[in-house]
Amino acid sequence: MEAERKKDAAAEEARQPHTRACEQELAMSWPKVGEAGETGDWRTVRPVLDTSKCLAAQRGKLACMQCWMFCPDAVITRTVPPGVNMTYCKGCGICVEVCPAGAITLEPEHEHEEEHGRDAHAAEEQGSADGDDQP
Amino acid sequence: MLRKNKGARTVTTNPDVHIITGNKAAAEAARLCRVQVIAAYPITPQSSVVENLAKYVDSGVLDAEFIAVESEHSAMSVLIGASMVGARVFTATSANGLAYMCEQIHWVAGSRLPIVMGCVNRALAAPWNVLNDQQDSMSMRDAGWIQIFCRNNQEILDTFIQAFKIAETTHLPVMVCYDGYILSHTVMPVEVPTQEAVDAFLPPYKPHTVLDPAAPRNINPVTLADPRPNADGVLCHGYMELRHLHHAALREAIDTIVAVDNEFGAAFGRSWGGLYWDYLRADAEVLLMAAGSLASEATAAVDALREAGVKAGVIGLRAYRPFPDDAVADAVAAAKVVVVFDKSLSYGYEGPICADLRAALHGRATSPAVHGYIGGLGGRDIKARELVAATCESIEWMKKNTGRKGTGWVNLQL
Repeated sequence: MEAERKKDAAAEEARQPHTRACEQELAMSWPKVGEAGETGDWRTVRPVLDTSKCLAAQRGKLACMQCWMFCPDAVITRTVPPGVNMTYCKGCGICVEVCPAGAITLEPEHEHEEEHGRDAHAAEEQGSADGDDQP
Repeated sequence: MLRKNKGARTVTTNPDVHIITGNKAAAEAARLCRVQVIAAYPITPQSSVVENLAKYVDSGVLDAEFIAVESEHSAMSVLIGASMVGARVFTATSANGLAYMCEQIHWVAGSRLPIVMGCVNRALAAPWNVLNDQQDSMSMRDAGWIQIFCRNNQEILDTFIQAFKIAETTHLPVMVCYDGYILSHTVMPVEVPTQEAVDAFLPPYKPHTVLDPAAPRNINPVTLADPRPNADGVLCHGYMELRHLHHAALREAIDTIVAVDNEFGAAFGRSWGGLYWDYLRADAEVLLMAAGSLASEATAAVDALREAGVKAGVIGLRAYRPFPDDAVADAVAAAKVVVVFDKSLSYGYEGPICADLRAALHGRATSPAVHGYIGGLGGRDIKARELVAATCESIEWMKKNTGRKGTGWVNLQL
């Protein structure tokens, strides 16, 4: 009985998530992708690119790239066409504002989910988040 | 205060003894601790601390950056930056300067930076007043700093040297508090230790966290309620875990304060009681308790009370945060009443030291009555005979009443 109880307690301890392993005594983070959490779940609207209007897509080369340059979260890739990492995109809409071709629109996230399913964005991510920004 | 200090060893024929003010003693301590960055804004009665340090830096006696700033908020901001890149730093302020610094005081503590600051205790406005009470440091009670009160100028010098060691051991900031004018502008004999002796006691600062361009990191990113895994999948503290660690460090600092004071005693031949000091406590039925110079003055009141046949003694509180609850509760356990004199007020309740002592005693099988008095606000002089009169009032009250006595005010002319 006693051994079982101890085993249960140890298992409970192992299950219980705790923060001791981080060994920090003050809050800190490192400049790495994902250090601020999966901020994509803040999003209520998502940017959708119309490649028929996108200057880079139309010219078939790295042109314009205003969206990539202005994205405050660095989640737009420098590719043809530009991609958006939906794991981290907060849906702020700055890319929409700076696009000179009017190629990006914001769609309400709930409408998108109704159409494609809640987890659809993970499968259709166009860009990588690890800094690989070459086409 | 005109009496010989009974809490410390008296040094007489020593060439290292200088007749200096409390502020000069503070500046000498900072010099001896080889502080590397000083940022301060002058405010009465703190000004001569930084005036002296500016002189040391200008003349080359002290190899430090003296950064002149436009406010106390900026002074502490500069020190946060300097401390985060590994410098030993120092500042001092008083009253409204401390209040203006308030936000950064919390940032320092939450960042666990071992910054040492002198708080030359002065009354807070409004109304405007430049004289002594302890409302300023008491208003920063819950900022997460260690607070140590000094009773004389030698203790000021010695406590600053101890403070750097305590801060750098515990990764907590330390506020060394001493009474404006009563200590800051009064000259007393102070033994100034040699640089070699201080170097041996206080090794160079080894920072626990350093901002370094070679290995960039963010300090104090937004840290919300729940723990969150970092990019490597390690679960990092939420806000509450960090607060618990900070609090635990302050509780552990109770032992560090005692250990450092003992170590200082072994090195320099003077120690100051650690968490508190006492005078004629062993057989005392009535204990007078206070922090800072007022506790020193209470020894004169106790002498008068003893002459009148009252078995009285003194508890001088040194560490106010962390509050040494167990140590103080044990120290007063045998008395019938503790008369607490606060030079500050938790508005709408009572004196803060009095309230904390009551809480520390609560739930003990036997404990003395606790009577609180407010005195000396805005620099109103408190005479030893007034401490005697208040103590006698408490003794008489206890003969006729039981239960909790309301807060008394010393020399209130209303």
